[in-house]
Amino acid sequence: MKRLLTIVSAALISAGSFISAAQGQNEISVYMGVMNAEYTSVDINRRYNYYRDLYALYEPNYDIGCYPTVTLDYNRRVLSWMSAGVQANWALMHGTGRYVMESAPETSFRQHMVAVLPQAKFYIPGPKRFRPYAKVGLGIGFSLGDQVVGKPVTFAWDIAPIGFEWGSNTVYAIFEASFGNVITGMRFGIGYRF
Amino acid sequence: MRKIVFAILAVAALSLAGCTKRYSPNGYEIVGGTEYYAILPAQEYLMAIADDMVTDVLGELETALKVEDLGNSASLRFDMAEGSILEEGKTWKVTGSTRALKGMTIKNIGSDTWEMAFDGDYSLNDYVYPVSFIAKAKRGSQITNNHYNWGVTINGNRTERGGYSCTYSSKSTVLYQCTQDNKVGWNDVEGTYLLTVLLDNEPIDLWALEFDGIPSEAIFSRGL
Repeated sequence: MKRLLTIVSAALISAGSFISAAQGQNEISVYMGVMNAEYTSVDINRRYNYYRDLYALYEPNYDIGCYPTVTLDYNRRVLSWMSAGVQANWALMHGTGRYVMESAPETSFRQHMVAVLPQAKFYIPGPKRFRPYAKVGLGIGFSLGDQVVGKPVTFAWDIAPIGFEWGSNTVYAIFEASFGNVITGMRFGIGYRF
Repeated sequence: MRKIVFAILAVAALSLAGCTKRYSPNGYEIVGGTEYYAILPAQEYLMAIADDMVTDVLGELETALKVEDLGNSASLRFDMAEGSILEEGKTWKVTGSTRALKGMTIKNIGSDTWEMAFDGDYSLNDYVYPVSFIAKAKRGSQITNNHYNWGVTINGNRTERGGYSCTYSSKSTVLYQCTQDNKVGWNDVEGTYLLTVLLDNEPIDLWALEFDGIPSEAIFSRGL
């Protein structure tokens, strides 16, 4: 009984520290990041399937690099250790297409990558002014442009296994590393809690 | 606090490292234009048919021919017609292939010649090739116990995504020979394979692979 009371007390104290560390139920954030297009490249090029085929030899293969992204994020606290919300991501991607079997000139493409994902954010116990968290989002992604390369609409997922809020409870800096099938990369931003 | 800072730096470094690598899908250097870029993947594609797959077909045939010598372990891999595969008209079916040719039929068509038919996925290392072919192999001289030289003809096709397909065939008979007694495979191949690439059933390219001795030194060429 004594051990149980000790555990319950510790849990209540932790819950209390979460609440006092993050006053306000709502938080909005804006991030800028750098997108690593390798995952998207895999989907666009469809190279990493198990068929070594003529399509891959005769259709252009795209060389895609890293591009800036912008993310808008809103969450509302639903539990002491969890928030629910939505994020919207945008990136401008362009690449160069080269043919394997043809001597045709290189092609290029440019398209907007947009994803909207309902998400859950999980707060990890840590110091008051340096608050770690993790996020997972599932939603829908779009590729927009005159000539879209890859799927124009796709199921989107985004996982930030680690992120940090740094600052006061109201205004704080954010850093997170995220992995997704539409946009992947690291993000820096600023958040406001109200 | 220090651990948190190091964690941030580590995550940032990993993210940056992934970002600084410029993704190049084929992993080939472009040297002097597209010629170098083009040959290797196409040659590998045709070698997988002309060398790897055909030798696997011959390997299954020879295993079937020595079923009686190998006993139960080999016979369980074949759905056998009554009688011996050495009898004309007998058809066996491969039910458990160690060479990714499960489902291939082997039929003795007489004159020391067997006809193999296959329609399915042929896998080689990490890749899978959906193929359909009819191959004929005429038995030549014996090299070791139950291991022979062969003369092979083959006609096949493959339909792929995006409207692409191909047909391939041996240009006359391709000889698979073994010049060393201690070899279990065929180290001397002579003959030519042709492959036509089609897009929406229209020919767009023609490849040839010419063997004149050592398989690894086969000459690849293309042109329509």
